[in-house]
Amino acid sequence: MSTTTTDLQDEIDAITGSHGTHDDHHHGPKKGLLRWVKTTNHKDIGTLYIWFAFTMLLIGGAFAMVIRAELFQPGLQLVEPQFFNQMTTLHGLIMVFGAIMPAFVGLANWQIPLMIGAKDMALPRMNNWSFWILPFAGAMLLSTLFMKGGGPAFGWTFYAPLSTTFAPDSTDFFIFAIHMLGFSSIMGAINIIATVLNMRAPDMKLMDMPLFVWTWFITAFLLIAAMPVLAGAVTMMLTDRNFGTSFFDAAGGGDPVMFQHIFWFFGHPEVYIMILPAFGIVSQIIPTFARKPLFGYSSMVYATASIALLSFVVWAHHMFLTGMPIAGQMYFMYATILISVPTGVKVFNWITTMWKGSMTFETPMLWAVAFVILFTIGGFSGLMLGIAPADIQYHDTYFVVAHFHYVLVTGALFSIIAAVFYWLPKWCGRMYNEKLARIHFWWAVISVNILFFPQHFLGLAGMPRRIPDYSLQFADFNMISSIGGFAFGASFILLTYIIVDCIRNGKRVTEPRVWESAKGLEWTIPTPAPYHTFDEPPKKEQILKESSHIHIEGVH
Amino acid sequence: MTEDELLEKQRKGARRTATIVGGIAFAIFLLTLYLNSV
Repeated sequence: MSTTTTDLQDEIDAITGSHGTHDDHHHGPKKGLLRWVKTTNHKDIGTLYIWFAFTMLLIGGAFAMVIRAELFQPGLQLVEPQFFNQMTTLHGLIMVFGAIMPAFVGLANWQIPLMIGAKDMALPRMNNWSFWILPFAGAMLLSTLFMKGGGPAFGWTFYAPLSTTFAPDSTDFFIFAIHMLGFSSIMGAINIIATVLNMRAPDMKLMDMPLFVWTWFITAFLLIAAMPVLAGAVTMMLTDRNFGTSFFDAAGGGDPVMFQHIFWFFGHPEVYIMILPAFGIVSQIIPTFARKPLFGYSSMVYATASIALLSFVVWAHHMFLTGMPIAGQMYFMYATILISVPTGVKVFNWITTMWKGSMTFETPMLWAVAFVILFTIGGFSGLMLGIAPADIQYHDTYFVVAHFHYVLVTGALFSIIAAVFYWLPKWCGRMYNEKLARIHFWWAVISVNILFFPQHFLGLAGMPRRIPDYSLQFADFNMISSIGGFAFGASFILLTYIIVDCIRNGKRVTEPRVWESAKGLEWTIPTPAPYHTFDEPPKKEQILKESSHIHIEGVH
Repeated sequence: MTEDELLEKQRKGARRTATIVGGIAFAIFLLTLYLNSV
């Protein structure tokens, strides 16, 4: 049987006898729209995920523009308060479940098989299904805006009883959308775990794997443990709303605070689901442009695992103001602060990797360095919020908004942009416009700080989050923040142009190793990446030679 | 090990892993509902 250019799924079918004949071995991608509907190829599915995430990013960003436009001045200017609440809710939900998570899954789809020398993901048909659930779930979520009573307006945390007793009818569609998104995430996680454990090149040990693969492998376990809890929460919401149960209804013997416990038992690991793959991306990019092996590879792996474990035992730091016993507050405070230790190990290792390196600052490196600096600011404000007595002051203010946007925008989103600039030439065989990309970087990095940094001051001065109107003393910083927001939003127009221009008109790249000092199996395959790769699994020598964390004397 | 044998081995392993991990996810879902029902 020839296996040079077949789909993994085709080969599986051939072995198990699912196909009577098998004469279409030497095919590339199919033509037309059906290619994308029926594809089981990890590169196609990765591309679909990334474009879907980008679309949702633009939609969620448009909602953010509505929020910042309303907050440009005190008083009600543009939208009704109820619609404002729908915007904050859907902005959060779309960005978390529609943009950041699918973007990382897209990067995983493209890169994990290439980085471990696998032909494809382990379960290609399930991979297709995981993706194609998303557009329907996203459309259902967005459709709630056009329903009677409007869309969900209870915040992305959908606390009961706002999301049960007092919610609009459209909430049932929201619940179904969350079920579908969660199902997609769980299937994606199963696929990643099965791929890493079973599809690695036979000569690649776990501790030979690149950091991006490791961080995604650990993230997949977080998804497996956290997403079913979210599914349980929305299922209980559904039965409370429609079938007469009282899980979260105090009048029926239920407990609304229990909803918060369940939500944050999912919600805090969710934060790490959105940041651990970012750590992996930065750990790939920095060694390339510092021209040094990654410092402290094994400590990076253990730190990632430590963060993942700790993420499950700190959830109630989101709930310090719910009347928790002092002993509980003390425990959750110290456990939260403990996370800064493995996170500090990571930041130390990135800086040490750069230390005395022959550094250059191509666009991916600019984003990676910006990530290290700005994510650390988000980490520091997280430490402040983790201190229980201080949190009494900060809770539910714009300080929290500033904190998590530093983590999720200048952290997660920046790493995704870094990854796209880093791997795009490998994917499409064309180089982006470096000059425009640098202009975009500085535009975005300056504007994002104008957008979010003043929100620290607003929060410290007491401005609550999720309000369409505010007292006069908050006017100046809100105006500055909105100007930054509009500029940051506009930067995505330029980003879209840079990406599309690269794909359509970019200078052709043919060298397998697009970045001269990049290490990794993905840089050993031709550029652009062929439709099918690694028919022959790479050997041990090549795996070690391409390791970004092992320095072999005389091998560069 | 031939390429076909490797693929067969990988496929078996992937199915086993997916079944176990999927089972764990479903068990966590049921446990969440159960713990809130008692």
